[in-house]
Amino acid sequence: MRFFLRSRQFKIILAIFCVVVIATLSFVIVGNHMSPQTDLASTISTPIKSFFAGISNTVSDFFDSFNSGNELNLENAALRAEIDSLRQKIADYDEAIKQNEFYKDYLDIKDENPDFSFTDATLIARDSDDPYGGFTINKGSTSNISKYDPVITNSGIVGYVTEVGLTSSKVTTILNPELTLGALDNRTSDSGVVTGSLPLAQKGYCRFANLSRSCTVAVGDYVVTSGEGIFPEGLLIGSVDNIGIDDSNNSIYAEIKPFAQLDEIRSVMVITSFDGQGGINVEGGK
Amino acid sequence: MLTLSLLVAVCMFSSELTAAISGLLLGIFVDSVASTPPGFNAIIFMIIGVAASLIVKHLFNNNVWAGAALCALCAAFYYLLRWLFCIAFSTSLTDNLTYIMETILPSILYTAVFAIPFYFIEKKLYNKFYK
Repeated sequence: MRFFLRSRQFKIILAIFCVVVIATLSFVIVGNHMSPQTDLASTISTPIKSFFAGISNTVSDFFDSFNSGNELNLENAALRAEIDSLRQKIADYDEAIKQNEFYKDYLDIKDENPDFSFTDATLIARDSDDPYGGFTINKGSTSNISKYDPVITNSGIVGYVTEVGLTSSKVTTILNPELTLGALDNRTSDSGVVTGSLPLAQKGYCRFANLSRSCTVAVGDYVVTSGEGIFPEGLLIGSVDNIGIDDSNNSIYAEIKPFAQLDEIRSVMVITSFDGQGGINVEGGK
Repeated sequence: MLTLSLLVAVCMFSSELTAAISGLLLGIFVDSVASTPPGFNAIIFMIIGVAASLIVKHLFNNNVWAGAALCALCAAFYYLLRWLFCIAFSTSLTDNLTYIMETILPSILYTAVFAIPFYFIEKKLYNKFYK
C-alpha cells in the first residue's frame, strides 16, 4: 500500500482526479452548461439511448396489452362515476360550467398563448436512483433549449431544464424539493407555492404549501401557475387530493396530484421562450 | 445499479490505474443521465475503482463472495454519498431514515447480487485474454 502511494501509477491517478475535479468545479461555478466530459459522453450516447428507449417502450407496450384489461374495466367504472358526478354539477352549479370552460381554455395551449415558442423532445433516459423522477431528453442547446426552460405536456407541467448539453438536457420534475413555483387555486385564487417532498414524491404527489389559514381550497380544485418565477401564468399543475396542516409553521398545505403522468412520460414540450420570461424562483437561483 | 456492479467486477482484475480510468469513464456516462451534481459520478466512480482494486490486492481474496461483499461496500459508499449530497438536507429525519431503509438498503443488496454474474464474466475474459 505504501509502495502504491509512492508509485508513478498513483501520481497519474491523482493528476487525472485533480483535472476532473477542477474541470467539474469550474463548470459548476459557471453553471450554465454541462461539464465538458459529461457533454461529450452525452452527445456520443444520445442516439444509443434513443434506440434503447424505443425498444424499452415497445416491450413495455407489448406487455401492457396483456395486463391492462382489468385496469381498463376499473378505470372505465371510475370514469363513468366521474361523468355522472360532473353531469350532476352542471345541472346544479355554475362552477361546473366554469370548469368546462376552464378545460376548453387549456386544451389548446398554443392558441391561448401565441407568445410561447415550443420545442418537442423525447425522453431518452431516466435516473432510476432519483426518487423525484428526473430524466433526460433528446434536445439541447442546438435546439434553442436553455437552463430553466419550463417543460410541459398537453396534460400539465412536468418541471424545468436543469442542465443543457449540445444534444440532450436534464429535466428536474415538480416532485423535487429544489423547485418551488408560484401557484394559484383556479377556483378560489388562493395563492401558495408548489414544491416537492420525499414522502410525497414516492407517491407521485407534490405539495401546495404556504396557504393562508383562511383559504378555501377544497379537494378536487385545480392548481395552476401564477406566473411568478420561471413558469408562465396559467399552466395546469394538478388537482388537490388532500389537505393538511403543516406542523412546522401552522400553515395549510394541500397534496397535489400532477396532471402530467410523470412516470409514464415519453414526449414533452419545452417552452423555449414566452413573454415575461426571466426571473426564477429556485434554490440557489440567478 | 448495474454500472457499479460492472465496475467492481472489472476493478477486481485490474491494476489501480486501469481501475481509475474505468471508473472515470463509467462515471462520465452515468453523469449524462443521473440527476446528481455535475461530475459527481465521475469522481465517485473513480475513487471506488481505485479503492476496489487496492482492497482486492491487499485485503480481500479474489473470489465471487469477496466480490459481492466488496460490491456491497462500494454500493453503500456510493448511495450514502448520493443521499448526503442530493436528498439528506431537503427532507426530515424520519423521512430520511425511511428512505434509507426502504430504498438505499435494497439498492445495495441488488447491486451486490448483480456483481456475481459480472464477476464470472470478467474472470472468464481475464483468463482468456491475459493468462
